[in-house]
Order: sequence, then structure tokens, then C-alpha cells
Amino acid sequence: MSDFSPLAILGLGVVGASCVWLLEELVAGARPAPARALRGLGTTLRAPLRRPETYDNALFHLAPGLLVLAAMVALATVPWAPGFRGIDFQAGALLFAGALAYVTPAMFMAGWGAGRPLAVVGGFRWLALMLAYAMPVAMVITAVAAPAGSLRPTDIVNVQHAVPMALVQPLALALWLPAVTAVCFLPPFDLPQADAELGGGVFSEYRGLDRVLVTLAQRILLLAASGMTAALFLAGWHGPLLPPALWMALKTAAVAALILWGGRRLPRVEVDRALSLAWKVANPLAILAIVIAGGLTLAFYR
Amino acid sequence: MVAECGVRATLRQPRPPVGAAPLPPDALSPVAWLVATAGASEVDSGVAVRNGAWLRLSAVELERAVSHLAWLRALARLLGWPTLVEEASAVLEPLNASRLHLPVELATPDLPDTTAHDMAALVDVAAARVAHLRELCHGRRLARRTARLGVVTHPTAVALALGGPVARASGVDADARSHDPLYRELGFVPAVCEDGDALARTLLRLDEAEASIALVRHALERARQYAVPPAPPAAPTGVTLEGPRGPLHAQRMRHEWRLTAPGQQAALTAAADAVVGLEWAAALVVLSSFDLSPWKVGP
Amino acid sequence: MSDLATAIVFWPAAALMLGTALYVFITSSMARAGLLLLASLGVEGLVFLALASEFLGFLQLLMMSGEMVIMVFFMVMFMPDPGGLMGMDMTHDKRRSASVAIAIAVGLAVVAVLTDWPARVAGTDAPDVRAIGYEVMGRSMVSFLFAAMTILLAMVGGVLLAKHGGRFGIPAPAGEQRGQEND
Repeated sequence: MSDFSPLAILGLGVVGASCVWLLEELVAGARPAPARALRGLGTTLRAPLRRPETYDNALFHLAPGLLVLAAMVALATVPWAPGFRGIDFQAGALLFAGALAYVTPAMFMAGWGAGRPLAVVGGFRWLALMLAYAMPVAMVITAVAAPAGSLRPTDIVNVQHAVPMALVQPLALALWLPAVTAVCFLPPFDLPQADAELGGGVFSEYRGLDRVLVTLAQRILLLAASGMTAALFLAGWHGPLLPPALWMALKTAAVAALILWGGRRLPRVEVDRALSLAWKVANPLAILAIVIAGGLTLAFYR
Repeated sequence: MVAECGVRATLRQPRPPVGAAPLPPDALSPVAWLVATAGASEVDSGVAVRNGAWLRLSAVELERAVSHLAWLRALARLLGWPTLVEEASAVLEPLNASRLHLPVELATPDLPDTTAHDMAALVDVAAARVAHLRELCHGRRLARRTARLGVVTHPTAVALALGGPVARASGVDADARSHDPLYRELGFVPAVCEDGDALARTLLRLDEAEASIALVRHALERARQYAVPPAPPAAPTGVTLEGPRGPLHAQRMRHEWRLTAPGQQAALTAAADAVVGLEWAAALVVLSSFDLSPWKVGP
Repeated sequence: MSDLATAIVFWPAAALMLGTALYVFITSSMARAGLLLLASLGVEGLVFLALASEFLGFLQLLMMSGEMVIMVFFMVMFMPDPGGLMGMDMTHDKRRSASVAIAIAVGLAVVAVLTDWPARVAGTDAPDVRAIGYEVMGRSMVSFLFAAMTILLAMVGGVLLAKHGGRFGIPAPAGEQRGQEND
């Protein structure tokens, strides 16, 4: 492992979650009211972690912790700056996909543990959605790693020093954005926790610290997903004039704003349509993207 | 799935003073009921308050527009579509603000000039914003979630004697406003659609809301000009108004009121049949598209 | 990693794996069974990581999460008591199955202990991703292709079993509840 500090990642997670909250308020067009938000947070935290009549207490209470763990590990794999590369494993991009994959059991545990019919429905919906969209995520990572010749995120960022991957492989980017939005259960793919349809779905029964952890995990997932998009497709920290960390921050914020804006403008995608889009369109196109990436690698990058 | 609150609303009262209206039994469209009962008591007592006719028409049409737009906003929340929620709210705000200018006693004849002017200004704002809402709803995003779901065919609509927007979306050309000379003078044409699916019902309600806003503008103009409204037809069987969900019938008999909303029970039946076999989210959308009133009205 | 460090990671992890695997069969809730199995195989993935085989470790973690949850899904679909509420005893033919299981376990243990495993240990900078790539595309391509076909057949079979009526195509019961019946 490179010199990486878990405490720094933790701090980044908490600070990043607040920034994501700020971005959410701005994209929604509301004036951010931090004092009121903090008071709300305090109220939620002080609410007793009372045990509602859940079906499976162990799974129910483990789920938020697993979600936060998965989100933090995903956040740790993103390379933020040359001096702060996170866990820069040789197969780091794959670890990102793996960490996102652990959202699946966590959501399932949350839904099953709650025991309410709509929560269980939410959990199963999530399972179907996740399986469908996890494959494009992994395949696009392969397509992006091919020109770099390595799965190490830093190498992928450095291979884009001349041209960002978004311009070289637009198909991969077009597949990556919906897939990563779905895997992070953000609107318009927020099927498991749909407020109106499923009455809060998978997260409806959470109170107190559990609910705060769940909200924290959602925001950190968005941050990690945007950061990884910026690293894989927008040339990470490369850019003239400004310091690298600032470039990375700007690009991450831009991607996060795009995802949030898209979520507001599009109605929730129905389960059947999301699944048929994934299996009939996204997966075949992802295979095509890998083939294209292979061709590009042979032509330009070697 | 369908929660039915049965509230028996037969009101038996001793002979009330002339002009006093009973409490409306349907909490969802109080203004329409008030106007219907005011009209029915006029018919019964033989007194005709003609000058307030434009005003009452505006009240009924404003309520219709607000009801349809609020329903659209609720559908947008169900669909998880924040932009549509915002757009619908943007049109609802000025309409609700203009309703506040209406006097509580809808039987009064006159409305001062400034009130009509303020109301008209607010309604104009709403009319300008409706165009954008219409664009949003006619796109593919709404169609993907609502097209071909929960179809109510024309024969079914006729057999169940449905009324209101649900029937009109299935091709049944039944609108109590077509027989009203007041509406005819303002150039009213009922909106009808053939498809009978959830999308047709949604777009029809949007069309009706738009048409209502236009009707209100014309009616307010006539009210400001103190134009004399045409005489209502003599109706011994009471007054039938077109409420937001279907026709409302009010009849004043000697000691009691008879208030019915024919077709609302039928709408419940049609909705229950239409959601069978659908996926949960789709079923909720279809159920919402029937705009059911949870109050069962009538003896 | 030194021998001692490897031992410190390996033996407790092995014990944890065995413990969670045992609980898979003790618990009667299907969801817990699947997730305990996930925990067991997840620990195996962490063992791979400790042995400096990053790619295999991440791959193991990635695949097992999705696979175990699918397994839970199918168990909930097909088992008569997925929640474990009725405390059904789902073991059959106890004596014969126990003896077969013990025999196989002893056999595998003998193989594991008595085989002459190669003693080469990869360092932390070993290009294992590259090595795995060459291996998959070269010597092991045939076995991976066959494995892929088998998995594809299993997927198709699973989908067939999961649709209404299973493989006989029996239609779903007609006349689901209608709102009218509540009157």
C-alpha cells in the first residue's frame, strides 16, 4: 500500500458529504440553510435508536454500517491528487467496482431486516437493478484501463495527460454515467428507496444514528462516483494553471452537479424499463466499448 | 389497496332560510358543491341572482384548474420527477392566490372592480406558465411512465356510466357544461380523447385546466364589463354542475337537499379493474390517474 | 510478508471462515444463511489480499457479493420457509450424509496436507494482473471457455425456473384480488 491515511479518507468523507449536501441544495434551487440542516441532524441523532418491530434485527442494524464501509472504501480508491492518491492498489479500479458491489448485500439486508412488505420489495428491486448495472460498470472500467495498460487509478489518470478519456471513448462515458447512477441508487434510478412509490422503501424504518449513517453513505457514494468519473474520464488532476487538487475538486463537483441535475429532470425509471435498458442495450454496448478500447489501444497507446 | 371512506351524506334539515347552503359532502371540491346548492336553492325558491353568474363560473373553473393541477403535482411526486413538481407548483401559486380574492358568499351579485382586476392579473401569470407545463407533459418522459396503462375502453365507460375526465378520456363525450348557456357564450368545447389510458387521462386533465384558466379570464372580463349573462334554463330536477371529478347534482326538495355525484362509485370499480396484474409502481400510477375521491356521496 | 505475519492472518481467518460456514447450516433463515456464506467467502478474499494477490482478492470480493445475494434470492423464491420462522428441520438422511461429508472432508484434508505445494511467494510489486491475463488468455483459455458455457447454461436454466409456472409453463392464478371484494 502507498502512504495512505485512513483518517484522512474519513475526514474527506465527512467534509465531502457536507459539500454534496450543499450541491444538492444549489441544484434544487433552494437557498442552503446550514444552521437548520445541522439542527435537523441533531434531532435525528438524538432520536433513540429504538428498535421498531423489525423482522431481523441483526441484519437490519448491520446494514447501515456495511453501507458506510462500502462507500468509504469506494471513496478511498479514488485518486484525488498526486500527493493524496488514496489506496493506490495495483488493481484499484477493480476495488472501486468491488466496493460498490457491497452496496447490494447492504441494501438487501436493510430491506429484508425491516420486514415491511414494501421494504422487502425495495430490497429485491435493488437486487435486480444492481446486477443489471454492475456489469456495465466493470466492463467500462476494463475499457478505460486498456489504454492505460493497468488497473491502477493513478496510471489511468496519467495516461490522459494529453487527451481526456471522455473525448477518446464517448461511448464508454455514455454507459458509465447511467450505470454508476444506478449502482449508487441516485435519482432517476432511486428505485429501492422511492419515497412516494414504496413509502421510503428500503430505508423507511431507520431511525436515529442508523438513518444518519444511511444518508451519509448515500452522499459519500455520490462523491466517490463523481470522483472516479473525473479520474477515469476527465483526466483527473491534469489541467493548466490551477493546482491539481483544485482541478480534481472542480471536476468532481461538475460531475456531481450533472448527476443531481439529471436526477431532477428525469422521472424515476420504472423497474422493467431499467432492466430491459440494462440487459438489451447497456451490456451489449459495453462489450462493444471494450472492443473499441482494444482497437484504440493498439492504434494509439502502444 | 383502494381505501373507501363511505360517508353517507343525505342531509335532512328543517326548512332552511332562503339562500343558505348546506355543508358540502365532498371535501375535495367544496366550491362546486356550494355553487350547485346555491343554484338549486335559487331554482327552488324561484329567485334568480343573475349578476353573480360570471363570478360563480370563475369560482367553479378556478377550483377545477386548481384541483387538476394539484393532482398533477401529486402524480409528479409519485413519479419521482422534481422538475414537474416545480412547474406545477409555479402554475398553482397564482391560481390559489387569485382564489383568495373571491368573496366567501358566492351568492352575492357583485365583485368590486379592483378585485376583478387583481384576480385577472394573477390568472394571466398562471396562463403564461401553463404553456411551459404543457410542453413538459407532452414530451416522452411522461408518456413512458403512463402510456397504454390502465386502459378503460369506450364500451366499459358507457356500461359503467362513468363521468368526468375519466369518461371523456375514453371517448365518452359527456360534459354537463355543454348544456349550460353561460359556458356556450364563452365558447366552451369539451375536451375528449380516444385512448382511455393513464396518459390520456393526464393530458386531458391538463387540457381542461388550461381551458378553465382561459374561461376564467373571459368570465372576469365580462364581470368587469357588467355584461348581462344569459338566462339559465328552467330545471325542475335541480342543478347539475361539472365538478373536477364528474357531474354533481344538487336538488332542493321541500325539506331536504339531495346531493349526488353519479359516476364516482363507478370510477372506483373501473380503477379496481384497471390495476389488476400491473407492477406495483405502474399500478400506483394508474390508480392515481383516476383521481378518485374518497368520499362516497349520496343516499 | 513474513511467515509469522502470514500465519497470524491465515489461521484466524481460516477459523472464522469455518465458523461462519458452520452457521450457514445452523441458522434457519435463508437470508442469514446466504449472508453468512458471503461473510465466509469475503474473509477468503481478504486472505488473498493478505497473501499479496490483490487482483484475486478484489475479484473474489466483487464476485461473491453479487453471487451470494442471487443465491439468497433463489432460496427465498423456492424454499418453503425462507424466513426460518417455522424452525423446519431441513436435513434428510442424516447418518448417510454425515458419513459421506466426513469422508470427503478427511480426503480433502489429506490432499491439502500431503501435497507438495510450490513454495514461491509473490512480492508486493509482482505484476500479478499481467500474469493472470497471460494465463487466462493462454494456457487456461479452454477451461475458462468451458466454465463460461456452463455458467451461461445455468443462468438460462435459472431464468426458466424462475418464470411463472417454472418449466411446465403453468400460468399464474387468474383473478387476483380486486378492490371490489373489500366492500
